[in-house]
Amino acid sequence: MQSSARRLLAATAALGVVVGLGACSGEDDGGEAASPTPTPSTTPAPIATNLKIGVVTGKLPRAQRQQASAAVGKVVDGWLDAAYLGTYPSTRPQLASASFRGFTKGAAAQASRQAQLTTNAAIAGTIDGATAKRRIVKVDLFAPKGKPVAARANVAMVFDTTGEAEQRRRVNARLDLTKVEGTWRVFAFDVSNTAVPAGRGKAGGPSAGNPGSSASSSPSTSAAPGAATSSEESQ
Amino acid sequence: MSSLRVPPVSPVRKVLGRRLLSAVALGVVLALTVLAVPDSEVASTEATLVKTESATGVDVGAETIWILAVGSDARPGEDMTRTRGDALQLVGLNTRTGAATSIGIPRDSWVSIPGVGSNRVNAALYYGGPKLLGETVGDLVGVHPDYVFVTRFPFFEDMIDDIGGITVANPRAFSDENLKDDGFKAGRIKLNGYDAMAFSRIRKTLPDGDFGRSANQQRVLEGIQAAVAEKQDKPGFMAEGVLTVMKHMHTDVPPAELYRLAQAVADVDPAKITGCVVQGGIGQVGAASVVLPDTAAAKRYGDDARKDATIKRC
Repeated sequence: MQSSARRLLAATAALGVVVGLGACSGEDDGGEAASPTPTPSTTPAPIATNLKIGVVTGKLPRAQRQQASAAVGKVVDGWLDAAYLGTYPSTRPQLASASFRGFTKGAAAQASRQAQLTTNAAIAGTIDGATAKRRIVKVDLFAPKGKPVAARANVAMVFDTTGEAEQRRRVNARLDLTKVEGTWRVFAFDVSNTAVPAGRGKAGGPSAGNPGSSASSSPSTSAAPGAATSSEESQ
Repeated sequence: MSSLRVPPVSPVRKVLGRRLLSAVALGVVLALTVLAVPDSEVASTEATLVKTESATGVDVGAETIWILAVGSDARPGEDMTRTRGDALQLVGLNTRTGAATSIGIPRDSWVSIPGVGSNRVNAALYYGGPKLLGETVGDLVGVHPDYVFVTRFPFFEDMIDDIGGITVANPRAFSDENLKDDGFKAGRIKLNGYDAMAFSRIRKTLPDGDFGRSANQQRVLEGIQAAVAEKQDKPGFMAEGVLTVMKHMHTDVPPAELYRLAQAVADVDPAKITGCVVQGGIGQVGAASVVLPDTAAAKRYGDDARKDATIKRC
């Protein structure tokens, strides 16, 4: 029964991602995600990524824009989930080894050296959980000759930690990706990871693109990335 | 514009590293906020009024890459890859540290051109295209470029205009009755496409002639880098830039690789830019006035910068 509920909620999350994909640059689609489905669990439901398509340079049909953005979103979600929303307590080596599978080898090595910012390594030993309150990924695509060859993902995530170091944190990132042997890989990154002062960094509100009230719910943080995966696999 | 990817001369090294963002001037921050951030919740880490520490990195395959930037003097109708190179700058980028350096080669430098014999260095483009020019400069400096980019004046002007112009630090006022009658003032000056071209080409009115011109070309390159870095967070800016380059280029470099190179340029740390011009004496070869380059200094620059793209002193 619980398994069925999970599948239902995962499907809802997937729908939310797909709806989010339909947005184009300049549209305020922050509240367009799928309508929330009542969650049987009493625990706070993690939110799905609000994935948006930003500027597309070059001619690319809508369906391919969505496919490419979904694939890029999947890579980004893999990083966010492993680097910040994983299982705690954890250690820097554990986070570093799990977080950069979507990066090129060289970029992964650089990111590992800066794990204090590119993961939760700085507080990983003092927290017992991390829950996203807002996660937005806006993807710009470079598609010369009708084919997406490069992408930039602008990422904004707010999450709360529990445990000794209970706090609200914000991750902002710019990730640049190209395809390596047919798979999108991050080759450049610029990541900040800061604690949000008390009274700031509300997760919801009209200015937030992915307020918790309108985001799809799912029982696990892997549901949203899973949706992106489905989209990519349909290519 | 034309480019050629030259096979690496050394094993590909893995890119590892980190650089910290320098403080961003308030004006730049505000400009980025307006230009680059359409919705505040998806803000670039550089488009914020709070100075924060960032983790940064870029992987282009090798830790340090070398690009020979060539300004061809091709006139309309001429093949720019088979004329003479008017501006020659060997540029190194260290993607681990964000360092960049430029080694300027006076175009009249009398050097050995493989398979041709002794001639002015810029004649290598005429005899053998970008590849031979890359080999010739590589032999002179001891560092062979991974890429050779060739552009011509109109394309160069277009590209400068496309990025909104550049700012350079001009050490002394100068003018030229043909190219810039009203001249350039000393100090930090803004250049549009035409001005950047003139600033890079004027030689006769400079006290140090060809050497001073080469130094001015380095100032222009630095201005280009700064403009690209400042605007890289504007959505689509980098992609548009690469597209512009592709339109003016005959190249075997794939678009994705160009995009990665552009990102490496944008991520250069302005505080880690160095540059030297290969000095030399003026001599006569037959009826031709040439530069007799200080080949020992050229090699020293290459040895100094080969691995880390930094020249400690000129």
